Amino acid sequence: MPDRKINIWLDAGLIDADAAQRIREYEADRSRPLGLWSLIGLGALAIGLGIISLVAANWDDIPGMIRLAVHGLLIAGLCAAIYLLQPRKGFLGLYLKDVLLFVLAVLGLTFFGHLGQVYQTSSPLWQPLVIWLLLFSPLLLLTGRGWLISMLWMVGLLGTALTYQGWYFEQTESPQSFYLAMITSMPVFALVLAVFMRKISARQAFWEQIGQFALAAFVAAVTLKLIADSVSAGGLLGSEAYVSDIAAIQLVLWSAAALLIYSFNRIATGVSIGGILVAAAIISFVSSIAQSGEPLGNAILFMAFWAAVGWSAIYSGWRNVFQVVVAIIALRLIILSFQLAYDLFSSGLGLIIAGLITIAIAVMAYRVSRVLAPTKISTGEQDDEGGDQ
Amino acid sequence: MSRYRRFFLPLALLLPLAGLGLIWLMTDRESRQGTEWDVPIAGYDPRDLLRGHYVQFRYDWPAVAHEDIPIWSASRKSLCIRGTAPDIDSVEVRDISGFSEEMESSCDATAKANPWSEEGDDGLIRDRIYVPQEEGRDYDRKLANPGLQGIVRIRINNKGFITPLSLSFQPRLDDNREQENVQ
Repeated sequence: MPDRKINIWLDAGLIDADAAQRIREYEADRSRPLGLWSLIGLGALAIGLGIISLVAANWDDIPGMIRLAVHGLLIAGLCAAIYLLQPRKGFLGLYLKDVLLFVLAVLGLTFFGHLGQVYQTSSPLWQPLVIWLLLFSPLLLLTGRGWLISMLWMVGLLGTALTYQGWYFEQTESPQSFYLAMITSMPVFALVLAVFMRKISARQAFWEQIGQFALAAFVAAVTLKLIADSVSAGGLLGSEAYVSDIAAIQLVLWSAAALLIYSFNRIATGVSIGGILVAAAIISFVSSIAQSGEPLGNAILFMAFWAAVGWSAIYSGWRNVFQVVVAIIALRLIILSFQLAYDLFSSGLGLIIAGLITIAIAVMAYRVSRVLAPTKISTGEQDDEGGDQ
Repeated sequence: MSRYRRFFLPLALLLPLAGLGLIWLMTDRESRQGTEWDVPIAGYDPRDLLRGHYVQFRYDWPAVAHEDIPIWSASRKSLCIRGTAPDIDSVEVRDISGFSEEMESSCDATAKANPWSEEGDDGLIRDRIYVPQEEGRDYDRKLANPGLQGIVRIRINNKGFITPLSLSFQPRLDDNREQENVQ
């Protein structure tokens, strides 16, 4: 913290001399030799790159068994390091351990590829991903602290679900609705787990992040589905009869999840998340049943879903989420105005009308986000969606 | 925290170690199972420098006309190989659907395309073998030599998937054809 800022505040009478002194002492305690650390980091990076280059240049000459053994030893060494770092607090215990955990998990994932290369085997991608998830989830979820680990785990979970779904479609002629509904509900399950664990775990911030990533993935997936529904009848899964079956099963699953989340967490966040889940379930179901190419109907469904997200944001005081919601609904309105004025385009009149509507929507959206947006300092519950403050 | 450290953390750390070790062991065991055969190759494509260090080739299965293995449905076909490893006496193309245990027992080995390999559904027709970089030039010369016949030693594992193991060369036996011409 530069002294300059403290002096300005002191001169302006915002803080008194005592407070200024205390801030200086506090910051001096917290300061780290950044220059030294960055040089050490640079050196470590150079060594790492050098080792990687040496290994890569001689990859063919190193027998496969030795390479695999070194790979395995690295993994074991990282496990030992994490075990030793666990009781440490501060920089080593919090940050370095997370970084080591991340490297360990990535090394574990590449081990499957390495095995495949040495033994010349190949398998569908979801298989190693599932095994990785089973082997590493307990460790990642028990020890992770920061977004590096929460994000890695969510990416692993969603990647597994997506690759499995792709494979499943290739393998089978008549996919099982229940199966597909379960696979596509993975973010919801992660969300329930996160809300539950947040209550009982000492690492609240970590589970909050898992919940945020899960919710973001879920909202993005539902949005994509609604867009796909409007582009082609049947949406992402093709125009098959089982689409509405899947949506019906999802309706039950997601509503149950919403109920569970509400029972875990009866304050603002629980209500908001539950609201989003129920709204998504109903709207997605209606969209799947309707399977219409009508621009107005699809736009209404899309905006209804995002309005539900917006209501949840107001309810829980997620300011930035609310701003995003307003922007997205405004964009969808603008697209709708162009869709509806499409046949008037040739006359030029449609273009003018669409332009006027666009400006009007932009102005209105700005007003709405100013008037309705939750205030920056949220009262009561501290911003639960930490990433969205 | 102390209970967590004493009990759960070591378990969570041992789980990936044990799991990866077990998978390594299983992969290693599986790689030793199956039978090895020698298959002549044809229509080679010398090293593709852009895509790595390998020789791409086509299998020239003995006593099978190339057209018998249609490319578009290769994944639905299997090869019934008869002989005493590594010498192939005869090869028969069969449909995978309508395939029975009984039929399989009459073959010494059954080969199927592995749809997850680089060659995908074409695995019965073409394949690739990785060669050390320094020996690339040597392989190049031998492959281009019309007097030499390339032979690939393959392993067919218990699932029926093919893995090329090594590439060797022997003088081409064109004597028969020449004799026929003379007659």
